[in-house]
Amino acid sequence: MIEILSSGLYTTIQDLGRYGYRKYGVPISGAMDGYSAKLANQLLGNAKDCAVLEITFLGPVLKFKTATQIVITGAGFTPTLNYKEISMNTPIEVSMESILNFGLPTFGFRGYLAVKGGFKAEKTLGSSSFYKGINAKGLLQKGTILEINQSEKKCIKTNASVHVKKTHFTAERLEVLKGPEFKNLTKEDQSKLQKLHFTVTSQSNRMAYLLKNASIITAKEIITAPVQPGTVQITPSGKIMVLMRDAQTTGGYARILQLTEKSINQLAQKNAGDKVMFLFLEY
Amino acid sequence: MKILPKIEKFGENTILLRWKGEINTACNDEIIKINEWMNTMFHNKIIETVPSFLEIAIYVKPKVAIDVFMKQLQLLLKKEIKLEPIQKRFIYDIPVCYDEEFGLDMHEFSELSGFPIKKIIQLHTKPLYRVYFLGFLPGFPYLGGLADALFFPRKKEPRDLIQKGSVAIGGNQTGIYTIDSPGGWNILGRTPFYFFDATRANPSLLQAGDYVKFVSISKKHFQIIAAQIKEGTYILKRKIYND
Repeated sequence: MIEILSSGLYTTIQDLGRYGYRKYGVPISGAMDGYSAKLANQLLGNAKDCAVLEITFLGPVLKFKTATQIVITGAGFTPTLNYKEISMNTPIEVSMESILNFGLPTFGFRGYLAVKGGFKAEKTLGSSSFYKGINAKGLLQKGTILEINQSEKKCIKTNASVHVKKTHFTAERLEVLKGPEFKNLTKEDQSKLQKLHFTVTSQSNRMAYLLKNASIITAKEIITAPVQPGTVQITPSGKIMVLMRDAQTTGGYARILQLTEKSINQLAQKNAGDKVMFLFLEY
Repeated sequence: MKILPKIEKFGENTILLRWKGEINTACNDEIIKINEWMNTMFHNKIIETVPSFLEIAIYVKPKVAIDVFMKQLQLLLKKEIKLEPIQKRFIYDIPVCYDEEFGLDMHEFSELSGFPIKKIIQLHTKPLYRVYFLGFLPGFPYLGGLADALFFPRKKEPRDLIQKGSVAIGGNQTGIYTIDSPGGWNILGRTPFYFFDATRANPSLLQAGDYVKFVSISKKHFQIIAAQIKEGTYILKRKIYND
């Protein structure tokens, strides 16, 4: 068991998402940076879709009531166990009564904590991922006790450790493919999207990242149609939104671009003020 | 098939089928049937599909060679594929209380539209609304059939919280907020019934192709139904829809 002593900025339980219910209007959810979440589980020998903690910028403080093994991946936190610095991207032995701190990341925005066996979290519609209105949980709160699944292979010393490329967190260029309404833009706006830098605004969250540029690009509304994580929508007033994991399943704004899975994971590591640009790929 | 959809890619692992033309029940029937056919024929290649007014998004498993699959689809869609009739669909009578306690925008709506409240209720409860598809919120039905007279622009300032069950009008559409949500539609009333239950394998009461009719109820009747729903004794009126 793990007790949450302090909740952090925005701490949730996530797995790889809730599939099969989009036709009912249910968002996929799941880890914003799926790459880092999967990596955390892999390093512990867990199934890749085990529930993990998603940590946003300011991490929680956790107290372990059981001995276990953990892995922390994602943003460049400087985690400490009992106030001694520990490594990321490698399995760490944790003894009972240990206290885990994350601090603030020096690069990236989201981190993942996996435990051996995975967090024991109730599944709703096939997934443990938090989504308000589906499993009625908003965020993890101070005082919450998290249960851990019993793992038959208990605390085997693994030497697994990986070096994650820094570009996963710092790359400015996001790979995109053209979206269904790209051709509706003026030639001028099309070329702006290929050349300009866009700034991530503070109104970005698990549903969508809102990007900004002084130069306004606009697009007419469309007849409501399917959208997915990674869809870049442009509104008639010139808002640029990149839909993320908690996005609606259908939308009425022009779908200009579509991020690749890799670039969704990279965007999930951006904080307000970071700059991005679009790198066009061909189908 | 009557009209051939255009078939194009939408990102790495998604195929879009896109129809040109008008939003009507005939076209929606076709889309629902093709959606069913896709899911039956290709369940091993597809994660899931999402139908909408004039498109179907096909979310393809990452391991499937998408270009080959797209070509196969293109060939098949050109041929006479045998589409099954839409499975059992229902007409639901949805009880709605249009009292000002729930219909937060009814007064303003009446003033700005020039219609007395009685007339608005009459116009809103008259049509048989078609569920075109679900989207926006879990279980939220996109309904077709709103009377032209009730077309009304969305509110300039969306509300932070609209109560589950609120029945509202936004632009040329009417709908039911199936969970608590922020939103910009004009709220005319509320139904005590709930349409989305995440604990059920099929969480949404309404399915694409169903029909709903709103039935005006009093505040007292609203409380009675709400109590019955809590006890689990309320049965929503429905009948089978025959083509």
